[in-house]
Amino acid sequence: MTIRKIPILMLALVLLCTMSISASGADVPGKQIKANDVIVPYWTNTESIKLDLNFSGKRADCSALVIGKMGTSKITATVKLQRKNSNGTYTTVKTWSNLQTNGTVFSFSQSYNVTRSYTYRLVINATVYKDGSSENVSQQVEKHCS
Amino acid sequence: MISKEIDNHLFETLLKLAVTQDHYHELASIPSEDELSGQYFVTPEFERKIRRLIRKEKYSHIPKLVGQYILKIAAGVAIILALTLGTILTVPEVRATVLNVIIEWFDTNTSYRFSESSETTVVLRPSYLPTGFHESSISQTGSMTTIIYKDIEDNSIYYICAPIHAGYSFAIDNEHSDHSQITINGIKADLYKAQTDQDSTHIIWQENQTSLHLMSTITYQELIKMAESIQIK
Repeated sequence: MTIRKIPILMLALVLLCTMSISASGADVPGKQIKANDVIVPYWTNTESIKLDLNFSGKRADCSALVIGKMGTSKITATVKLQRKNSNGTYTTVKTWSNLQTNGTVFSFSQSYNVTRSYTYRLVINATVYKDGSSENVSQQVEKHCS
Repeated sequence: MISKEIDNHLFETLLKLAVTQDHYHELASIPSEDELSGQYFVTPEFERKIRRLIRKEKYSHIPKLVGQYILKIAAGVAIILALTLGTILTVPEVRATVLNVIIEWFDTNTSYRFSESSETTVVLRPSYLPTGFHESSISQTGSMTTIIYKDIEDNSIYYICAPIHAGYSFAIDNEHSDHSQITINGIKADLYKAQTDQDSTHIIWQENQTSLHLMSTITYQELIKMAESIQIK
């Protein structure tokens, strides 16, 4: 092999890598259930949970939206704002509890002053009531306050 | 005058003779090769060193040549990658997919997170509404805008849009729907088609740094039509 063939070989390698990336990107996640999988109950009462954590200076704007399925009678929730420690653990800096709404849409929006240069996590634990059954759901989001 | 020329010529001749004789005497004083080889000898180590130096000199241009080729190859690969990535990223939907959205599939729900930031919220209403529906309410929760459309039978269509940023995340039920990918005005979107009349269909897509989400129990065809009527310019 002459030294002139090396660039051609390298180009072929790059193209091969590119094709491999495309192929792995096109992979659609399936729902194969294996023997050791934990079976989690369906979201039977909940349609969607949305969280929004924004910072304006040292003010953290915390918002949450929980939408229940048709016929949802009540949604209760607890929202926590947590600060991420250097060792990866979280310290709760503010808790909004006993939040409740009657109907299919629960919305929450509050602000809280925080210390800058930390990463914060907004967590919601909600219970959605429908047709006499309740369902616990949760969601979280993380953002750095610079 | 002639005498001066003769003197110079004589001087030149004598000087040449003297130099030649001196050189001859100098050469004669040097010991012969046999004499020298008896007195002095080259060690094998020295010979190896000399051979190594000769070899080094002979092949000294090769590393330079290889280095030049490697540089050319690296530059070529870098240009190809930059061009490929640049070309791919000019397609808005690819840019949205690559830069913005992290989709996580869980057992009960699908979660969307974002990495890019948008400062502005652009709320654009759909120009098409299914027959019988009207705007019932609009509310702002943080940077999220929720518009609820209702018909006389109290069926609802939820339209939620929010600027994309790292602190925005949402999850939707994925067990009562079948997922597929569609395009809304040329942009890739996720369609979660309801499995029964009681379940909701979701359409989720990102356009112009805004996350858009339509959700309802109406037919998925109607929901797609509604989504296509939302044009962000």
